[in-house]
Amino acid sequence: MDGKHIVIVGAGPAGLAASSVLPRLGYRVTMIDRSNTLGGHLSKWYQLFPDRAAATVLLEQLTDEVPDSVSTMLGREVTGGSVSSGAVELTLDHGEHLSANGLIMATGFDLFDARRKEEYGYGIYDNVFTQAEIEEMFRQGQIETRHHRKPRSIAFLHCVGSRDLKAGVAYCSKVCCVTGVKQAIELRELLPDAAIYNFYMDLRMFGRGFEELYQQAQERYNIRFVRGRISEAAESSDGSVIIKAEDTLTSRPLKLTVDMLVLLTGMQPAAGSLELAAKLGLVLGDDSFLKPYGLTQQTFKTSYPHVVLAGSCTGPTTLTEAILSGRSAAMALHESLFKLTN
Amino acid sequence: MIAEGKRHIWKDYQKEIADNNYYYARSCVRQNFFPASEQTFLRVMKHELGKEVFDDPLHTTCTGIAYHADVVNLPTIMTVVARQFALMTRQGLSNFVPSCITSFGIYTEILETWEHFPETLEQTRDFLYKATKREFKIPDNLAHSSDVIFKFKEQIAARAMFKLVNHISGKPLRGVEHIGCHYAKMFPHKGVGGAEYPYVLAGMIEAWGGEVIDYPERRHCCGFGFRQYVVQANRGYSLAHSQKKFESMEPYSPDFIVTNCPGCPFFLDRWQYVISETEGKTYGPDGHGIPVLTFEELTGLVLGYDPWELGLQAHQVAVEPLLDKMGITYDLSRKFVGRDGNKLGTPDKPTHLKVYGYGR
Ligand SMILES: Cc1cc2nc3c(=O)[nH]c(=O)nc-3n(C[C@H](O)[C@H](O)[C@H](O)COP(=O)(O)OP(=O)(O)OC[C@H]3O[C@@H](n4cnc5c(N)ncnc54)[C@H](O)[C@@H]3O)c2cc1C
Ligand code: SF4
Repeated sequence: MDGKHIVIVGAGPAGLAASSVLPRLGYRVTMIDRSNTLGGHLSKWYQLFPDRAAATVLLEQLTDEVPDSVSTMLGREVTGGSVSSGAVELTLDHGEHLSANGLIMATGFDLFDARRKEEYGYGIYDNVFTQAEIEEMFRQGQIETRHHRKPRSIAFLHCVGSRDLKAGVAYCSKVCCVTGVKQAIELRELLPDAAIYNFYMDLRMFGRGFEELYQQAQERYNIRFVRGRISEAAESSDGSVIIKAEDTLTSRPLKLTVDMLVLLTGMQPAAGSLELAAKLGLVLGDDSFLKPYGLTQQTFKTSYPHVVLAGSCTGPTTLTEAILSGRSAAMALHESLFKLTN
Repeated sequence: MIAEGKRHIWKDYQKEIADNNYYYARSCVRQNFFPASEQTFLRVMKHELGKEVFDDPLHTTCTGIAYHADVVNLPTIMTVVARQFALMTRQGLSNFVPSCITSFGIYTEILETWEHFPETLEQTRDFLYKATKREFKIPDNLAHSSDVIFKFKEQIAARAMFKLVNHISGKPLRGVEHIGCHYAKMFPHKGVGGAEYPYVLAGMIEAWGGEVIDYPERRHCCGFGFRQYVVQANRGYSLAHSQKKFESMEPYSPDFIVTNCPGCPFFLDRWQYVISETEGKTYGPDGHGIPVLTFEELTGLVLGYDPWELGLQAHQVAVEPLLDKMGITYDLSRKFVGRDGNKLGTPDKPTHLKVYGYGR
């Protein structure tokens, strides 16, 4: 629209989706990401739930849709700025300034720092991993313990840093249940004889195909689901992990030694997005994610007509939701700018 | 095990520990269990480190064990604690140092309660005044006596006569550190190193040349656990807990266990004897047990104090193997001679557990 300039902070799935829409409506678009690659978290995943589609293929599709006219700045962080009526001023990490007529915040999420749940020993015990590290192992095609052995037993623990008031997190991170089930199935294919457990509070299989995946995990892939949270982990002399939990369906305490413990860490607001939000005067919810105008309607809008929110900076999302919200936020911004000028 | 990971956590759990002028609150049970430990603390503080410590004969038990056994209620224990603080205030002191971990937990819990529910503080002031006409100030600093030794561990290392090193092989001695549950499990930020990987005793072992063992049941209770032992019918649980720990630490061949709570060294020491008598099982090499020390006893050994002055003859598990490894010489003929020169009498020999200087 008349070459108006829009900045998208974040080139994850939400930012990429937004950037594919706006140039076609006549905007000049700059997309900035502090990482050196496009795709945000998607670039770290291997196969996607629920259909095990390759993450690389989706990433390619998303980047292919970005018109050449979009100016992309990678390895650059937006560190500050201000919003005034009709204009946005942004500061980048090297002190550079950018002026724009509109802003899309697509700053995404950070994974919960598993070290904060000290009782599980992440970063201390050799064989405690996060699901993100398991994705990386899948990408490398090699699942092994820190001592380069093929694991004979693996336990997944759900809700690490989610639904945990002690960790200061009340919300559910939404995607970790199905990720845990998906990864358990992927592991079974690579390790036909291993014992694989998922320790959960309840399984939130809300999306299309999720419940079916869970059914398959039990019936076809022999994954053992234990309803109970692990209370503590310890390392044994051979580097395996001893876990204690309560099986709440049988009301029995349980002690188990596994070669790998995988923590399904939750999503939390990206550190960069918190600081930036404070500087731009954007409002945070009680959960510290950026707060849109409404939770049902106008989920992209902020109190500024020319600043919109997209993707997981407003709370845990699936890729489907992040991509949809990227496009919708772009349209919402377009409508807003259109109204302002007409 | 990734040592750096623990250091990362320890950074988040640093606590302030006063530098001098302490009011020392003794434990109600420790002097019966390990008679010289508190005296050793005073000796180290006053004579090695030149600190002022007031050892007050007027203070009482904190009633913590009775509180945890549901015999004493919260307003009562708050009033008892307030009286201890009144005695500290009367001395013009404000740094309170309990010798007992249960007490430390009690003081911490009560100070937190007073902070969050100020009406309970007012009520306690009122109760104390009505009962005793005393008034009190809240301490500026609350630290357990092991925190205080931790603070000065480097100064102690500089004065050490012996190190936690095998004097023949030159290899570090391997120690299990056992922290009293009430030290930091309730309030992680009140303990050096936090609740999951406490550093208070590990730091001493490291500073004095030893190596710390991390074994799977490290966090588990020693077996005292109040109701497990105090309620007689539950004593089997107490024994089972200790046994679980011994079985778990045994493969790591510890040279010693060091503790900072009154109950832990007692149970970890005595139950080794009971297990040896009932099952013929011992946890050290050649029929020995694993020596169990209080942190004051360990400090005293490092500083070259005479083992019998440290009261090590009151232990059921022989400490001599540890003394031998450290290169400490001792006179077995004086083991059961009291400070006044009179014979203390010698205990009977256990069936399996190897001991030294015993009678029949
Ligand atoms: C282990 C795991 C597996 C998953 N698997 C699936 C799956 O199979 N299917 C599915 O639907 N969903 C999956 N998800 C969810 C999916 O990853 C998210 O929905 C998606 O990544 C959200 O996209 P986003 O663009 O909102 O955020 P992000 O992917 O987090 O991207 C945000 C981008 O913003 C950048 N950024 C942040 N702040 C700044 C700043 N100040 N300056 C510059 N750049 C900045 C970041 O560098 C990042 O690249 C998974 C999530 C996890 C944790
Ligand atoms: S999606 Fe599952 S694992 Fe993740 S927070 Fe919610 S309930 Fe826990």
